[in-house]
Amino acid sequence: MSDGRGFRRVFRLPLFRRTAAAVEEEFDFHLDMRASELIARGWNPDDARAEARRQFGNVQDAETFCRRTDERRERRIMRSEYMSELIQDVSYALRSLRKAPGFALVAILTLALGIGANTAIFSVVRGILLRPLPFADPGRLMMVATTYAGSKPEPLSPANAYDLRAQNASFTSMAVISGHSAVLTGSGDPERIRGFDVGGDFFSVLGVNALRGRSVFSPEDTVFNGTKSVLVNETLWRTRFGGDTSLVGQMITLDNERYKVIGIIPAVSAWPSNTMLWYPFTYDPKTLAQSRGAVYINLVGRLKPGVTLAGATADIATVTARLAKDYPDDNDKLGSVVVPLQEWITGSLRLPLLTLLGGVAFVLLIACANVANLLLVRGVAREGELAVRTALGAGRGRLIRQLVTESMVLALGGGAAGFVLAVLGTRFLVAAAPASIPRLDSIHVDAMVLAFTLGIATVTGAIFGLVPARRMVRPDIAKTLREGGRGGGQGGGRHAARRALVVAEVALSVMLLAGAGLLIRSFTSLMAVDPGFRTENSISFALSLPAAKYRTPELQSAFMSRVMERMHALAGVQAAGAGFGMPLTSFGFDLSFEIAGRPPVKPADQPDAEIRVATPDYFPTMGIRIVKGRGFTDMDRAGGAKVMLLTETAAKKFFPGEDPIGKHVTFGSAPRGGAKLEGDIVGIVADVKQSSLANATLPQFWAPYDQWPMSNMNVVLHTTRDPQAVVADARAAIKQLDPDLAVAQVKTLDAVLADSVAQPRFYMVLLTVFALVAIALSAIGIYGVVAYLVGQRAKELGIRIALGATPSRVVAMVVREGVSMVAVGVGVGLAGALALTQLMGALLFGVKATDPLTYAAVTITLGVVALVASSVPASRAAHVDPAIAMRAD
Amino acid sequence: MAKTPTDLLYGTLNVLVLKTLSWKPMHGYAISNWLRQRSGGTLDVDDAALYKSLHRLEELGSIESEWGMSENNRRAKYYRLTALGRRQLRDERAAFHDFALAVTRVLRTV
Repeated sequence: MSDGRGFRRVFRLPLFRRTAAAVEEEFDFHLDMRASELIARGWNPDDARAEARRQFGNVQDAETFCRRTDERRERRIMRSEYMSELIQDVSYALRSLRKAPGFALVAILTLALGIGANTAIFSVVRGILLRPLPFADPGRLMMVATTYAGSKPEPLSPANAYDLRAQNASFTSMAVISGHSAVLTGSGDPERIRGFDVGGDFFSVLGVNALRGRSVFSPEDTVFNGTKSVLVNETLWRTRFGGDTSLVGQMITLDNERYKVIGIIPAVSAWPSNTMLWYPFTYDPKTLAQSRGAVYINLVGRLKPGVTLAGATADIATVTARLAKDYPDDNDKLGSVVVPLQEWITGSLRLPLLTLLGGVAFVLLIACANVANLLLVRGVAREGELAVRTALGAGRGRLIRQLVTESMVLALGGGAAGFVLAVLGTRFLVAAAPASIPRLDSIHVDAMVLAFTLGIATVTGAIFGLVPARRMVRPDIAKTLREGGRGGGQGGGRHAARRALVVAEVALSVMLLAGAGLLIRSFTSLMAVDPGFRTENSISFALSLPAAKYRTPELQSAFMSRVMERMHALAGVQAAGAGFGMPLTSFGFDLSFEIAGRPPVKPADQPDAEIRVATPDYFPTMGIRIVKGRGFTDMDRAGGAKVMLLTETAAKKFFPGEDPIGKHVTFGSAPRGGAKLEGDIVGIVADVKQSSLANATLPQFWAPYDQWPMSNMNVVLHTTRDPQAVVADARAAIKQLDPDLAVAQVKTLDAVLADSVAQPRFYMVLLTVFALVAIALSAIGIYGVVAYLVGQRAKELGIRIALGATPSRVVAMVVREGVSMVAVGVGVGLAGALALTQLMGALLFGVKATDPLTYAAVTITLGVVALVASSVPASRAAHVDPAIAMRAD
Repeated sequence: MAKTPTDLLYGTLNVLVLKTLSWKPMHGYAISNWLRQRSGGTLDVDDAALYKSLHRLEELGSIESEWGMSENNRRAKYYRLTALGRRQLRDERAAFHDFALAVTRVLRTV
């Protein structure tokens, strides 16, 4: 291998051809020599050649053997040369990075932020939006819902659900679901458990098998008033029953009734999320036909093989149209939608999550631009070094490999730190995410995403790490050396690249900041919305009286008044009341009604409103204002005259231009059997936000608890001391009254309010963090470029100072350079932001996507950042000693 | 192909090649001729086997090769012994002596 040049020349051929040619030449030489020896001895040439071959033996076999042997040898040599060079390159890279610790640290941190944040967010997006649901063939599962006069999808009434299930031709099976919470008693403290009534074949529709026992209810379980049976979530089985393997077949007590456990459902397949118990849905066949008005049932089904979503939608629409025609009283204007289950569960998260994903992708782009910038600046600084090494005979390929190795070391360093960040970030996101976000348990750090982001970072590093090497392709080493390693100075091309990178960074930051700013403004205006009740020093808990024990409204009402008596007597309780349904939760209970004295209309055309029930003290306790007339009093008793209150919105909507007080309203059906809900309106109360601060206020009617007792009530205490301590006393007091009752959903009203805005707050905080990171990175980018330019122009600046330029003039000159770059970036960014934030429309509240205040704030912020980032190198430039600066070259 | 009665024992050819190259660097053709002459025609070396042995020894690092000019001005591949090959030759020569002695001793006793 002493002939290095020959070796390298041959090296360009593929290994196979190279070795084959060499072996052939060697053998040819041998055969020619032998033949000419024989000719010299008097053989004729043809015979001599044949004899030479004969003496040689099997030429073909030897050729193959030798070629393979040579290939093996050369491959090993190449490999070991490559490895030793790689080790050299890596140690060289580490050495040179250690000499520039600031550069290395910033580059690695930048990459880590980009890689880590992206991996974390994408892991969340993948877990929630993209990972298939934990059911068999989940793509074929659909939700069927109805609409009224083109409303949003709503649940179905029992009769409509049964008819849709029986008459459609698209689904192999369908199962109804409807909420059913109950208090579990027996071992341990009474506990309110979230459950659902489901169709008997619910889990066979989903394709979920039981962990133990069976997952499908038997026909006897699903008969009205049949055997009471229940399916238990694995989580509840483990926490509450200690994973007792004999639980299946045993009886458990729920709401004072005995239920037989028929199976354990694996926790991963629990749906709807956090459901702990599933009961068979049953309905009295005698009253089923009349149950078309009240809607509270969701329908899930599995498409038959070969049926498409469009086909099923059309089929369900046909059945719905028939139901609308056959039952015009209740089903007038009935419509239907079929929605894939995955979309049903996660549809509302798509926009916010994709917004976050877009934001974090911007951060990655900025990070890449920043690293590219850093590498460019560093590359220029090293041109002198590289020129010297080239002059000393270093191969170009080798130098390029060294530069790439350095970029790779940086990328891998960033990747490793990014991985740690991704793991921590994902864990943080799952922990910090509002509990109302579904599928948090299916979020894991995504190896594919990590590889992808690492790949992007590596490629960026490789490309921009190579720029100084590309310069060496041009043989201007002599020039570079002559210039004292300063590089091409003001040579336009690379300056333009650097400026373009900074402009891009700034533009991306502006877009991110605008998005974050809009979310901040939205959140501010959301928090400015009056919820209609007071949240300070108040706490609420849910109390549910099981029908098996509190059989009559009188028993319920009597017990409740004893509870309220005890609550009033607790130390630190200023006011106590009870209401049906907490505000700012997804709780809704909607009934249609008639107003006495108005011409009758058919049921489907009747107005409808939210119904709430409250004790007299509920309004003062919650701080809900009585606007007109009176609130409830202790005189509004079960036997007395029936009374009702309505909200301001309801008064405006149903009694425009007249005084509702004194009017009589009658609601379509009673909340729980018995008499119809009705009464004379005696007062108007202030509006209370029901589902969320952002949603429009719905018209609402209030009925007095004593006249319309409900089994599920929320007790609210307004306290003069720590509400949590008061609740402990309340719990003890209730335990004395009935040890089997569960004090559930204990929450201060501050927490109720905070939880209701947890999702927008979460998105706002995350996007703001991304925007801040983006600004920090951009500031580094601006600083780097301006500092570099100052370095380039040190001589010029020195001359200017020597000629009498004042420091302030020099500072202004340099700052102008930075600010002009930023101005272009801000311009581009504002245009991009105006276009992109249009997509965020549905995330915004009380602010337009074109909000001028936000855009002004963004511009000012970036302007300040640009000033600060460029004034540091500028002031350094102003203090250049002209003598030193001019001598430097 | 006609074989001589003294068909080479496995591994013997390698020692012979090393021994040949211990004189000076040579190309394959010269080695072939040298072996024929030195053995007085007794060892009719199969050239195919000789080249296999050369390439194998090069892979093992006992010899190394370099292209050079032959006596009649043609490009030829010259082999030369490495330090490792020299050591191997010493070891194997001793081993072969012991082996030959043992065989001879056995044959004498008959």
